[in-house]
Amino acid sequence: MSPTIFFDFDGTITRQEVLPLIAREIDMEDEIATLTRATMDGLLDFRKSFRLRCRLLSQVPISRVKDIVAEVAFDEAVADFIRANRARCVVVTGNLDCWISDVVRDRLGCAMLSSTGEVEGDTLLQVDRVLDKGEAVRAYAADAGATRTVAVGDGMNDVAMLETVDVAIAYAGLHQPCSSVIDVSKYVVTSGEALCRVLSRL
Amino acid sequence: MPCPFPVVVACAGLGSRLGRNLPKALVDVKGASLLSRLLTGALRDVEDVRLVVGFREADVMAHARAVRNDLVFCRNPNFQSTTVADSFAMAVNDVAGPCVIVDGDMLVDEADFAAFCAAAADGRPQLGVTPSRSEQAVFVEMAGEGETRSVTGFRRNPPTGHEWCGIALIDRSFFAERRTFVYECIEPFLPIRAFEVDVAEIDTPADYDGAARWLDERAVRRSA
Repeated sequence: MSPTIFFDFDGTITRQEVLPLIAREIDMEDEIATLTRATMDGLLDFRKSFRLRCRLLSQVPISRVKDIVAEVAFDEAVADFIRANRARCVVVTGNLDCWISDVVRDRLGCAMLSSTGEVEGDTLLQVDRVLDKGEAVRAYAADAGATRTVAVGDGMNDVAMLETVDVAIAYAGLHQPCSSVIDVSKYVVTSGEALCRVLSRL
Repeated sequence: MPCPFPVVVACAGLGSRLGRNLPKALVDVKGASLLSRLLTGALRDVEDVRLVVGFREADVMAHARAVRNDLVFCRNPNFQSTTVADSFAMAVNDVAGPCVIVDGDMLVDEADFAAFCAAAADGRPQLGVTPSRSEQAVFVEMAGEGETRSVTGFRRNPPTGHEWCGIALIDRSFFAERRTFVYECIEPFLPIRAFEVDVAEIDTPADYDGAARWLDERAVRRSA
């Protein structure tokens, strides 16, 4: 039976990070980049940092965020694989459902697990729940009766997901995977085509 | 025609018999590493190349990426307590279908490898054999001639005219049971058709000198 495959979104499926694209709309790229860097360097807790970044970006109407995200560049090899195997592919993203769900539905057509936001009209009020990728993947796999699971990611918040699956793949799509990600991965892959060959042959 | 199957190269070991603090894949022979010679030579046209890495994995990955950026690295962090057979098993078990395995500690004749892959295009198991030359060979017993020649057995002693060269087309059923040596994994499936591939394996310092001579002989042949 073919495995269920969980994909990180930013930097794995996309060739651009989503938050900087939104930040550009309100000229806050430097601020978001600084917070992101501090988080990656371990100076800030991921959850607190994410809530703060979302608070800054909540100035952008949700409908405008959706328009921006709709144009985000994909790794087309990875996206094509997902479209061809959408029944067993799942996007697992710390990004907010209100921002990301449309682009996943329209351009990938697969299931999605994400953080959730509290919304009022066209405005994000606050982050409701920050996704724990490990918990989310375990629960999804159990509900779906998945007999074999695979995960693809690159960032620190992918470690919990990578630790929980049968085959963990560190993918250097946009970024080099951090050492913590590599340490919990069975495979390290640096090209979208090579990634899809591995996934197709599992 | 390039090999249609994944090629798994074992590069995880310490190479302790060679006596260097360097993965064998990175050992330089006449100006280029074993790994770069493999990647730019016999495996140049292979689309799906997977390297099993372990000892000094970061160095091996960086070295390999400088040659090609579409490789797949399979990590064997337990390289100190596992064998080449375990390394192959790790990677081959994630391939649904035939797979070529290549021991990463040797020089391989490009044309012979291409012919090996062409002969194995039907996906049936095939073993690479080579005239006996290495210090710690696994000799093969064979039957038949030409295209019908097959490997019927392995032995350490007494020597035969050919040894298993560390290249095979197999599938994951070969690794269903854990065994110490790769030839022990293959043994239950014999007889398997044989195909001659000229290689120079490097396990010991004497093998290393032999490999250098192997390259020199080729250089002389090409210039003739």
